[in-house]
Amino acid sequence: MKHFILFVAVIFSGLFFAVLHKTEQGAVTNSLPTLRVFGYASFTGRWGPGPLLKEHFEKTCNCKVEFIEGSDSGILLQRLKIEGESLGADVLVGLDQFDISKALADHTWRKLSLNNLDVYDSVKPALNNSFFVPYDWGVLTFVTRRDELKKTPKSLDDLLDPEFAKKIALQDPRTSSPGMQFLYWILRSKGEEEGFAYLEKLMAQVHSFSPTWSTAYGLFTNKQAKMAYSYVTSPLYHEIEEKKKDYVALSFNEALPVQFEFVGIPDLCRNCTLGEKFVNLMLSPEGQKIIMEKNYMFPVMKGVMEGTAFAPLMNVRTLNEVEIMPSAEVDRLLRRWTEIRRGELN
Amino acid sequence: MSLRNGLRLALVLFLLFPFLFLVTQFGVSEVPDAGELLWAFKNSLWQASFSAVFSLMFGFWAALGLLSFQNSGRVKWRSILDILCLLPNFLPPLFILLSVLSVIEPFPMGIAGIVIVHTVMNFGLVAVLLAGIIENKLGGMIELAYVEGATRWQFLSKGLFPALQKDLLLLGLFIFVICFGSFAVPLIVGGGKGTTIEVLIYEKIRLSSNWGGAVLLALLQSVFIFTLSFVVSQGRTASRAKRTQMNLLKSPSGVFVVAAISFVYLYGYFEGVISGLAMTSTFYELQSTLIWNFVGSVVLGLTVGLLCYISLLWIAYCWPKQWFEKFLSGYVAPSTSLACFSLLILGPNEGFYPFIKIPFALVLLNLNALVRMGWSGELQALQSQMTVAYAMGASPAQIFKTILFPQLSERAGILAGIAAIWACGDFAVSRILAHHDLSIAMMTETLMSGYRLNQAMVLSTLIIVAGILCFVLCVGGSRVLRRKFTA
Repeated sequence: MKHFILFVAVIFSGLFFAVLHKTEQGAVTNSLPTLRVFGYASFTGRWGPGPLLKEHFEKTCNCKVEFIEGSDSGILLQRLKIEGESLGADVLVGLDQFDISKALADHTWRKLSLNNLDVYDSVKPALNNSFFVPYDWGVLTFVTRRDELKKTPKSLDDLLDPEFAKKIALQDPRTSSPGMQFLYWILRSKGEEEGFAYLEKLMAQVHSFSPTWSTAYGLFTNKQAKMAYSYVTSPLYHEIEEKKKDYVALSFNEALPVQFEFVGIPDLCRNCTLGEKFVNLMLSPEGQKIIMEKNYMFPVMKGVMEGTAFAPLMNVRTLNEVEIMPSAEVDRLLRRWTEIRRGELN
Repeated sequence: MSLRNGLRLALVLFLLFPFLFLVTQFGVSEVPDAGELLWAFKNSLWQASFSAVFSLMFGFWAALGLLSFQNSGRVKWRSILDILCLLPNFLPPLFILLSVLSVIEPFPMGIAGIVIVHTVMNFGLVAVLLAGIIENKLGGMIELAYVEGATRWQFLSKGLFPALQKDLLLLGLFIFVICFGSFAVPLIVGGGKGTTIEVLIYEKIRLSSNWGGAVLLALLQSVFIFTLSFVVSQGRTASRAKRTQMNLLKSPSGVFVVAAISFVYLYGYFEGVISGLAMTSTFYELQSTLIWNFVGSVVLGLTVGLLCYISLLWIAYCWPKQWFEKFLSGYVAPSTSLACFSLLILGPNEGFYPFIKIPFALVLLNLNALVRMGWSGELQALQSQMTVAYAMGASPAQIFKTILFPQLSERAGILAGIAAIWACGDFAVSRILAHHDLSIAMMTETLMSGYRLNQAMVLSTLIIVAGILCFVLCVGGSRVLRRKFTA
């Protein structure tokens, strides 16, 4: 009996410590300072821009970069609030414009030097605060498969056509950033009262409200829905990675909303100078190229996208302003949206 | 305080830890909006009730099919059917959902849609558990009824249903609790009825940072389940009996049910896997990561399995005690976000701490499900043996060693194996507590979040392999321990 337990304990401990050792490898291997970058999984993960940025940065910084993943930006901000300095966050990546006011209200951030950034005109409105800088951006619209729809919607009102009933995959604005962007788009395009009246009618057309962008897009790629709310660059992913040309982003009469992804340095940072250097790398031509190619989003700096397949996609009409909405206002709009959902029959 | 009382109290405190810790950290100052709460409660109640009823109905039918494969020559078929039944429980819900939506067209959104998806996800678990209960508890009665010439309907109405009334109610409650706390499925296919208590809890945390409100909602949810379990747990479960042939009950149509529902969730899944196979070249450069994450899944699964095995035997050692039994049958774990955040705030999160915190969080979230999956029934079935032993002067340690452990080790191993399978498929807990991808399930989720759904489906086959490996090791280990211990 004792021998059996000992045998099992040795095998199990061996596996446990092997995994632990593997995980710790490269994290803090020597006395080099460690820059801790907090972000979401698709940025820091194997297929995201994180690993290549880390490789570039470590070549010159005489330091180690450690990525810490969180399930989303909201959860990362909560951790920063609760754990404070003990979290050891030097850089926070992946906030969008709806997170900014909450981030500013709950934490203090280091000022970033944002002068002389040669950014696209559409990006300039996003530089209106000195604590966060956008590192990529995307234009949101509906994506569909070529020739699958008899009619193509050209305006928001066209989406109410019976042809599209139960064919539109959307995201829930309470749980998803693109979902919130959609709500914002409707309210900005139509005004609040008319916008909510429109949403009431649109409910009958929607196939589903998914908790995340990936779920909604998965429903679309699996042909459960005929169109999904996504990025104008989404078809490019299918073209480059899957060699499929049958996906197309729709253009609308209404100006399209823009989602910016921001990076910031909390005041509680330990390696603040390294953090600033990392942000500079993200905004450098090589950093921007990595982010563009891995995230399938537009770079903010000029001179990176030109001559690539991304450039023609940028020529769409977008909302001019970047509104940093107070948290209370976001809450109020979401309550109204929830009220409308409550009225649905099914 | 006696050792057993101390152990009981320690377990109760462990299970209540997230509530106690978060209430002391954040307090509860705000009363939730009654209209919003009632609406979410009504949605949760309806969808969970219907889901439990339909899962029980189809699960019962499928269980009769499983009972057709009892003879030694047909054990292999039984194992295959068991795996088919359990698969939907450890694949990411999105994969099951996509498959169901691709087979059932047009898909009815709303309560009906939620119930269909929940039934596909849970019928198999009910079938496997129910088949085990029937085999273990009704063997003698079935044989007698068969010899006496009872028809199947006579036996079902006058024998099986009255004898298993409480077991069926407990199983129904178990599925009800799972569905009551469901998050993604109601949101996606629930239409206007998609807002449940679990969604409200998430909203409070994610949008309003209102932790006090979230804890209060979780507490209200727990109180409701606790009250419900008091009603359900009246009466006794059936006692153990010898295992005999099941001719009176076996039903080939039950096999058809398993095959038909398996088709519903496997069709779309394999379609995704096949189209993802064409793009697996991206995995070649990641061979080392894949291997390490596979090992990570196995280690995580085995750690959770081991901790659950110990916890179940711990409960057995502390049995019987009325307040302890009532607590365990009524307790419901807090939502994943609340449990994980309480562990996140507690102590450091660096180095090896995630490797300790993730298994503990998974045990905390799954232990009550394991108790409801038949563990409390097993203990109640052995209660008469324990009472006799106490009357004859046996000590708790002797009773545990000579009565409980030999009879319960294998069952604890099976339940621990199921917990290990769930751990292999988990990414929600790990994503909050781990700093980067530690397991195949986390890698799968990362792939899904960046367009690569079909590649994620290919990768998820490794979750199945890791899950089966952990299950086999847990069950095998528990058998070896029983043999060595009683030798």
